[in-house]
Amino acid sequence: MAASRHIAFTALIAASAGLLAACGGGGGGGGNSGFTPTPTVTPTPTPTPTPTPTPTSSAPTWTPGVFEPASTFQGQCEAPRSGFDLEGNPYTDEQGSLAEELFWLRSWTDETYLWNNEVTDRDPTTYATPEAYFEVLRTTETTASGADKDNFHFYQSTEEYLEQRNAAPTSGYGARFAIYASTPPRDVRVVFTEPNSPASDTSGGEAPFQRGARILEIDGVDVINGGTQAEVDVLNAGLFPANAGETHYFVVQDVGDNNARMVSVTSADVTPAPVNRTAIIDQGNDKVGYILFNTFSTNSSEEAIATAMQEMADAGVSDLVLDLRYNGGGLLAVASQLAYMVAGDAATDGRTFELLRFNDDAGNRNPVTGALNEPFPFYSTGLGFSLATGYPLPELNLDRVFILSTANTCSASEAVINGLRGVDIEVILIGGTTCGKPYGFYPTDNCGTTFYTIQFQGTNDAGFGDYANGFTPADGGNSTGVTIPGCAVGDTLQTELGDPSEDLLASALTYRANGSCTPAVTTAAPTPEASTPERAFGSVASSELAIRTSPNTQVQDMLQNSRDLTRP
Amino acid sequence: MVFLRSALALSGFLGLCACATPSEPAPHAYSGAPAVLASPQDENVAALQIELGEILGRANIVLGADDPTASPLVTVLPPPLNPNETHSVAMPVTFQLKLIEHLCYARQTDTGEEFALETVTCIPYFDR
Repeated sequence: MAASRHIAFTALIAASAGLLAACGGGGGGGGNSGFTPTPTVTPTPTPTPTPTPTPTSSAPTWTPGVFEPASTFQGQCEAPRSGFDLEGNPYTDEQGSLAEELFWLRSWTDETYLWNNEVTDRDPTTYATPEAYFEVLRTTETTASGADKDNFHFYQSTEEYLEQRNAAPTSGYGARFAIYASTPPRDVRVVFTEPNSPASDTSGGEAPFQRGARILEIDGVDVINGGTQAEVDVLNAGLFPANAGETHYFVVQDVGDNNARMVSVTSADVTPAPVNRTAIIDQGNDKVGYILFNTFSTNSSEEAIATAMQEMADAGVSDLVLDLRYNGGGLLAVASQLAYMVAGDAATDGRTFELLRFNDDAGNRNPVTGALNEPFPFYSTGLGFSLATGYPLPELNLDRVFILSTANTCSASEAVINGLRGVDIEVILIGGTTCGKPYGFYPTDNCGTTFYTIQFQGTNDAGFGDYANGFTPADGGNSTGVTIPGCAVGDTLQTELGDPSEDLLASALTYRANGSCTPAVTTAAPTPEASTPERAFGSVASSELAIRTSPNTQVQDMLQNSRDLTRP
Repeated sequence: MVFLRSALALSGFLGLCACATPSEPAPHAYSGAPAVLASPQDENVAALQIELGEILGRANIVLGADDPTASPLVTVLPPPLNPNETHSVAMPVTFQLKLIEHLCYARQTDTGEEFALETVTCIPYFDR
């Protein structure tokens, strides 16, 4: 108890320090407070006052290059919502018009879009819907690779947005499936399983699902060739059970096994573990730590990664392999904590983990919140997500880290790479080119649609943030990404994650021993189908006999399949 | 909107103080002893959640890791992330509990604002 009291007292001191800092800073505010950059005003002689005529119509009119504050139009809806949203908050819409919705988009883009000066100012009243207008409120520039500069411009209904972020743990088995082909001849494999889940339960002997296993049959239906809609329905029902407690029968073929086996698995409500597994690997006299970290989520990732790092510190690891190959990002604050724990206090004290760069008109303010644009430091203590505020984080004090990556290593995961490189920690990248998303946004609702427009770019302590084509291992031959030391290795699903012989981990250990990518990975070469997954599972036309998900599992499917497979 | 009234009242009081002559001491804007929730703790935690939700304008909130029955800090988690929010700057909102004239207050640490928690009962932290 004495220890916890001490922690609480430390936290109190930390909070008091925050109090002092807060006295000089700006407020915070809601996600869309309507902050407007101060316009340049040319003084003019005071005219003779004339009565202002009462407007006969509230419809705004378009004057090129002149933007009224977005707050003028916010929530002025052609079809105002009433009642409460699914989080219990009252709608605040007022009766407005399509024109006001369009003008809100125009002004909001001008105020907050990162590349607002590259947006052509078009007459909004020529567009039939806000969504159609939003599509053109973006830059049309391209990057050096020829790709669109802005690849993250989209919207969804606010109802769907709220449903997704409030989704309860999804019923399933705790297995992430990769669907390499959703139409016959189908190819469905197990990527990994969650700890303590039905998929990894060994109480019956062997775990029902093992990494790399191919699913051949579900409830008696041939996964590879099943051709009727009724068969597809059975496959979907088995792969993505609607409820907990459903038992389904699978025929699976494990990696390296010519024989198939039948397993029965009962679904449960499974919450993915942020830290899926850890390992301490002996390498001669050294110990190398391994952490498979899959998400920077709000609910438990802070505590989970701190606990894993403490395990590494307690073991006295001299190197760390951080497996972010399936980590699509999340909280920047937890990314900062992770980077701190790798590098330690001496390397990060007073340094910037990430500074958000907003549009040129924003100055030193965040144009979305109106607050002063303070850099994200390397957080050295708990922040209260799932670890007590002020709780001191462990430190490994490493001057290099091995990061395992694929195209699914995205956003906040890339911020870890960039943040560490900014304070001269060597990052050795093993795997594939990362997704290339140094950008972020504040999803913003107006009149029932939630819009995502890029509002900031993260830069590190050295001021670098131009990795829109991802980070790529030096020997990978990708000329468009930011090349950093490391080895290009395919994620072939051949070996269990955390096993020293697993392709990416083995390559990291080899690099650690030899300082190079040779000898090449010793495990089997990638299977053709495993290295060329279907690009977008969700994009399969409904007319095809594809394995599809039910609406209830679509989000989970997008997370667990499409996002893993859309980018080779 | 009791909390609003209380907060406004406190703000008004502080505002009056702030208008005093410069030579006078600064207002006791942050006076009050650190506090934790009193028993029955479950009821007080529930009441605290409601009041903090009102302060933040959210119908439902989830408290973070800090335990307001054991520490004068309480954190409110940001809403969960939508799967598209992969580079999120969301942070918990932290409040410091304190007692002023036998009334429990929550001080929002990032803004310095103080709110009276009229349905919450606190005890001094150091008396525990």
